[in-house]
Amino acid sequence: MTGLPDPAGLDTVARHLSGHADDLRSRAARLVAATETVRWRSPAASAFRGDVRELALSFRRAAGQIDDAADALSRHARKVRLVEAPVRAVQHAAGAALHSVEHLLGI
Amino acid sequence: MTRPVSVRGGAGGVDAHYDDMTNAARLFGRAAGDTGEAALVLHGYLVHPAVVAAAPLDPAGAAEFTGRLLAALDGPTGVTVLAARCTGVDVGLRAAAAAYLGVDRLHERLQPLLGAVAHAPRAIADGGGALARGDPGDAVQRLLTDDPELADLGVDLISAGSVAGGTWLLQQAFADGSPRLADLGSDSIADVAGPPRNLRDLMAGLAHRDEGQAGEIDVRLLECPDGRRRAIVDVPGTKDWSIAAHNGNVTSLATNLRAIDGEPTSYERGIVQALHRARVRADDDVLLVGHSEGGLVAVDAARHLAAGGEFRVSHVVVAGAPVGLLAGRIPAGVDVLALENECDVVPHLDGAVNPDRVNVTTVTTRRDHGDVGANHDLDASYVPGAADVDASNDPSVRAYLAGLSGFLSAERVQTRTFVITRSYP
Repeated sequence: MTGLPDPAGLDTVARHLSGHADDLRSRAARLVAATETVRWRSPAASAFRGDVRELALSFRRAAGQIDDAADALSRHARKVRLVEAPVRAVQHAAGAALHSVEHLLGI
Repeated sequence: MTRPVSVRGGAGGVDAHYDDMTNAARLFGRAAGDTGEAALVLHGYLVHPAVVAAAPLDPAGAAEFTGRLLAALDGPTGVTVLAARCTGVDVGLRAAAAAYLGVDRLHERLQPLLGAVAHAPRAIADGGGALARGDPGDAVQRLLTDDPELADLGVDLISAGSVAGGTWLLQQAFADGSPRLADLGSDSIADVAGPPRNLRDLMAGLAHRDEGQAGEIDVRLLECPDGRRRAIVDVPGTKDWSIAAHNGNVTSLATNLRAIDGEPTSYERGIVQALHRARVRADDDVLLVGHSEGGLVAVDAARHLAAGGEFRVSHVVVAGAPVGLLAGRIPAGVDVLALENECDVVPHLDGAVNPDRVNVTTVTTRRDHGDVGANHDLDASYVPGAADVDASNDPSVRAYLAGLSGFLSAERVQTRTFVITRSYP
């Protein structure tokens, strides 16, 4: 137990976020495809199909934003790794020194 | 001089399949639920232990992540809003489907009533005038020609709202027998007139056949510039109103009572035999043109042949035919044009309005001769009415005639005539 954050946990969250973004994209494609097969023909139907295409665009835009958030989290994880590396080294050295002292004292 | 027409249905009309709409609504409902659930899970990542624990080591990076995810979730086009929009589409689609269904039912129920009420003042005035002159026969004529929608109401009243039930009872009194086909050979007079070039020519061809004997039909084989062969079948209407239980004439009550319900008849089976005898091929496009009872038989034949695949009926043109109960059952591959003279009572004898379908175009013309027979007559009303339709710029009419162009551009025509009669064991 080091008490330091876990960058691997951040990477896992980033992967989950990307998975959700992919789900949103497939949902958008399914909705558009389903709309095209609806047998409905009128000016209101044309407007409805236009609205759904715009909704699908919004889905894809939101998916892109979630991907951006996932990328930001991956960058954050790399930064955390960089910051915590010296701390981990110091912790490791201190631990080793303590172990040597204990050994010398026969504890 | 052509006159304006009014059009219902066809390619320029409104077509809505309620089941499709409610199924799509259900899909949007599910999408709303899934997206809302995703929004909740994604919000949870903002306070995930790994994210909270790492923030002090890189506060700027943590803030950037939090800001971007919040924008994706709660921005104006964020996931939370998308879930709500999906719910909106679900509710809107269900409401639209319900509204279409309601309007359709209302229209089919109310149109005859509204039409009858709208035309009533003139009908009553004309009918009253005729009565005052001591001519009750003319009074009835005036009433029916000025206000044909009265027939819809009358049929509805007499049949207690079920035309099918009423006609089924009457069918039992008039046996349909079996068809017998006699080949009369070619018709040089029809061939000299040349292939049809427009809807008026088609109606004139049907009127020419209508001048023949009872049960006489023709099969016109067209040689077309695209190398394909097409066939036109002319099917005249009722020529015998006898109430005899057995009647060799197929254009009689036994056919009317069955055809109006969509049942196969000897008349229809005779037409199929004539197509075989004229050597029409299964892959030739066939156009059935029918007047009055002939229109009912043509629509029924198209439906039954589409189900069996024996011949390919691509188009049907009917004039003065009460096809309101049948038109909604026409398969998608068959395009129907129903010509109705506003002053003709016969299209109202089924008590039903033709449905608004993409493959059913109903065109109403106006030719009032003040006489029930003349208003229903091909030469007096429907041939000139067809010329009105030819001149129309309505999108549904133009789309229908464009689809019919293969039949209206033939280089040569060969007409073969037949007589269908009915026999009993």
